[in-house]
Amino acid sequence: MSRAANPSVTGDCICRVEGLTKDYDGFRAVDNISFCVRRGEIFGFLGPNGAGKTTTIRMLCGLTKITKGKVIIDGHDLRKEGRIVKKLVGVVPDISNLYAELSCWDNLIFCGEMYGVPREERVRRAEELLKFFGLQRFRDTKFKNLSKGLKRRLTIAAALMHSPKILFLDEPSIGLDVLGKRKIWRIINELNKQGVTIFLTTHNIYEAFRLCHRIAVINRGKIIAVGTPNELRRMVAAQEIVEVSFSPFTPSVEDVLSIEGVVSAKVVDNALRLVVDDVITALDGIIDYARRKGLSINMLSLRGADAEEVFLSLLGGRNA
Amino acid sequence: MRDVLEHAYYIAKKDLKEYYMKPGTISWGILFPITFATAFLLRRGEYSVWAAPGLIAMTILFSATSMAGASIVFERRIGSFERLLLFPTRYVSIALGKSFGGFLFGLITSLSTLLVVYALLHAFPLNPALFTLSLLLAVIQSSSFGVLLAFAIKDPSQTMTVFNIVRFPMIFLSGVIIPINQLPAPLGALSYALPLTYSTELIRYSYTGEYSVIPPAIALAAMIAQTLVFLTITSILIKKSIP
Repeated sequence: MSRAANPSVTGDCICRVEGLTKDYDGFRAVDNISFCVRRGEIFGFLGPNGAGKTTTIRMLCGLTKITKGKVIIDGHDLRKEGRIVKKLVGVVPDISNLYAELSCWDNLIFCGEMYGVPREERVRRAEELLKFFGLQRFRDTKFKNLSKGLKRRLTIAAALMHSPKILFLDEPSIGLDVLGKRKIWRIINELNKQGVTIFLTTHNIYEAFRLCHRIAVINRGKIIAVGTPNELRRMVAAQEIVEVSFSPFTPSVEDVLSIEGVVSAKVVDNALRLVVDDVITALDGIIDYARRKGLSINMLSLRGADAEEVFLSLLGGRNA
Repeated sequence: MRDVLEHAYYIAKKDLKEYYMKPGTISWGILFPITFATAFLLRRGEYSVWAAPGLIAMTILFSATSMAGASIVFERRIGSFERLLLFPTRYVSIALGKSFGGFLFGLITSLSTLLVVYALLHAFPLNPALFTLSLLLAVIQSSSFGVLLAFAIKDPSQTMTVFNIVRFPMIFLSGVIIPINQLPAPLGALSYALPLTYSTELIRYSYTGEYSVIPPAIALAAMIAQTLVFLTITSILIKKSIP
């Protein structure tokens, strides 16, 4: 499910964050985080709701004041050269908040005007983006009359009017149906192939593992892991998943936790999904357990952890 | 400076496309002041000619502030105001742009009122050049006041209520209906704190050659100063609105 490294990714940081902290009235929403987004990559910020993802992205684009820390984007300090940085970044908030009464065309042109794109260039760019995002036939449709998916597409298009060096996407596919999500993912991949560096936040594990070259996992305002999807998997590689179904009954979770080598367990579709840290010991224990309880083993499978399990395991390590 | 004005122009252009047909803008910005003005002026006679400038100033206040209020309230409610903060623009451009939207809308409405006034009274301004200047100043002063008011209100859903609480007493305290020098002492003093007082006095002077208590030069200077103060405070409030 994870993606191959983008050959256009270079080693240099287009966005370097050092010790970024945000306090709200005694509550620390983001706690001294540091990371680097490499030029040409899709960098994901993955975490549960309330982890600090949106606060972080809002600080990076100047919508929230920074309590402490440094953000350098393409060599410019956000706190000292805010307006220069704003010209370098495109921002797609988690809500599609373009202007309801303006048409798709007028929304794009307005964004071009505000970013200082020259007149001829903004017309050319707006036409190009409408085509790229499949919005040509909605050119004169008011934003308020678009479907949710089309609104999302236009909001991303608007953020690209000035050809930014880095695109910040806050929960890009939130609220979309499966088709809408896949369309947005294709667009993100296409943009990245065209050389746009992308920083996205998501609580959708599948989305992060499918789209991103590297992922930072954030929880309770702290980054708890950074790496490629495969690197993150390896961090919890010591753990394997055993799926087993018994008859004539499925034992309780509490009961199977007594089996040696089983770390956690849950019931999924009348079968037990066990996270084990020592496969051989656990398999021995499961067979012995079945014998003692007079149970038959109908099915038993062994596999590595999937994205969701990697994520939960990483969060679990920090008292998620 | 050029980019400040350019951005302000783009914001105003966008606001006019976006909000000029909003119900709040139409009802409180056009229908109410024109109906109110017409009702007063229908009482033909000397009193009506005296009242005309005040009613023009009042129309300007209501239309310019309504437009500014509608655009800011709506954008803050749906979150699109934040888009303006994402652009590489200065806060003063946003304040100015929002005021320009109200300015253009207020100008159009005041010209409509002027036509009503002329149709009913057949009276021309005594000093057309000063009258034009006072009209332009009154519109920008009112729209910048509306923008400031809209930003100062914490709960956007309360904006129109607060606007009306502020605007309605001004009708009675700013010399629109009752001359300021005939107001009881404490209320007369209060009128000096109201922006509508200065626009009413200046428009009245340019229209009829009379003023109540504020000489035209002082009214003119006060209107310019108030506009600058309103824009400056709005810029500060926009900056402070970033959490």
